[in-house]
Amino acid sequence: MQIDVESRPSYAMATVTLDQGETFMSEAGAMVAFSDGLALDTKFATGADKGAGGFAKLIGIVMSIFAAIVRKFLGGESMFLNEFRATQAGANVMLAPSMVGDIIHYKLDGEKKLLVQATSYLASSAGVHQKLVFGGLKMILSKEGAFFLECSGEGDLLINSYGGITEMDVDGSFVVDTGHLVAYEPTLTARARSVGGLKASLLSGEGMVMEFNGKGKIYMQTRNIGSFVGWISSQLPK
Amino acid sequence: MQIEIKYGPSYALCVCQLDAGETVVAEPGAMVSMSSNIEIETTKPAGGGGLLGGLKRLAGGESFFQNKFTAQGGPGLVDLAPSQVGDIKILELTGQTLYIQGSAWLASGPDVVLDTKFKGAKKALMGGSMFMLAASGTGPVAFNAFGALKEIEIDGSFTVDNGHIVAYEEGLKKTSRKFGGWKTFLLSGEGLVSHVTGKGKLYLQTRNPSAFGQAVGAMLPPRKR
Repeated sequence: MQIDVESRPSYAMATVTLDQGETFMSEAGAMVAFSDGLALDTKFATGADKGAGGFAKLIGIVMSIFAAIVRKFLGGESMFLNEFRATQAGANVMLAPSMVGDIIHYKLDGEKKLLVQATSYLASSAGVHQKLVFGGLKMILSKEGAFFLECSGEGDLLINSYGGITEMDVDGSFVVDTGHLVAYEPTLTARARSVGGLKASLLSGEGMVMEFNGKGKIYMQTRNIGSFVGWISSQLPK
Repeated sequence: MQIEIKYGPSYALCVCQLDAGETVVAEPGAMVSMSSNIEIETTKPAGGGGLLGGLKRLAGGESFFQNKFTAQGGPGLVDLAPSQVGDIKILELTGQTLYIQGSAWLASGPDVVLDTKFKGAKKALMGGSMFMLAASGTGPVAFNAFGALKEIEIDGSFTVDNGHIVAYEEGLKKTSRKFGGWKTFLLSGEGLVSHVTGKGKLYLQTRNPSAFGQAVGAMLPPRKR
């Protein structure tokens, strides 16, 4: 498998070239183009546990449907993922998000995990598992989704941003505006809070922030969709 | 005429340097700046087929009229830009035909003939344009994209989301089909796609205007009518 990201950072597009039998999953609507030699399928975004059988499997399927619905209505993400499976070597698929911005390629090694803002997930290889995680009640107050996808396993993960992506190696404590947060490693503990006291919350224009503690990486986007929407709304004719 | 692109891919600008008497034809509204000796003439395109041709262009996402910029009495400069953010590409036509998605045409030399071709009603159902613009003749033609432009050399077949197609060479044939099986077609969020076969170059834009519109539109506050 080879992944190339081009036209960064404004209009990034990823080209994924697969070997025979390899599989890549993408967010619904992310497909730009693809070559011959790919079999297509559409699946629930949070799949049932393949190892389970009988009743456990049924519970798994019900849970996955429920998680998919939650993902759709609360996470702002599609309920479905498209699966591209290569039936011949060298088959490729091109993927891009709907917003303008960058794509980064994050490798999961089987031990590391990454918590991705639900709307920032673009695509991943077959070995990457996702689980929907609730970011806490306070996160609902922020304009961003209150849900994160916990990505684990081994494989390649593509995440997208609105604007460029900047990363920060935190060792200690760091504060990020929730509208700029893309993803973080869960070796960090995250806590949503208001930016300061009551006055700062009301007047600073910052709203909710996430305070991180510990050691790990944070990925942030250089623009904030909520702010953009606020600005463009004020510019549109009434 | 010397024509070049600056500030791509984000905010590409098409800079046209004209010798005395030379003309460049552009989409209405595309002019950014020009020398004072440039004369503008708003016309229907050469060989555009009168009223019917104009209506056909409107249906194809193009304007009814075009602007002709001619340098009078000496050399002159015309800068052109599309309305959306993204890149511009210039191709030199030497008798071959280039198919351009209706709203992607920006400018061309005076000897380039533009004709609107009906490409089937199926595409209109899924947000694609029913029409493509066929550019033929000789001279430069400039087209623009939403996002960056990706050039793909096809020999065989390739499948593209309708919202990402910008232009393709005449050696390629485009047909609409559904994305995958019925389940995938209905649930994948992809809908109809274009199947491109043959040999030639295909130009893609890395962002989809209607997907962007839906993403931003869903977040906008409701507007009064």
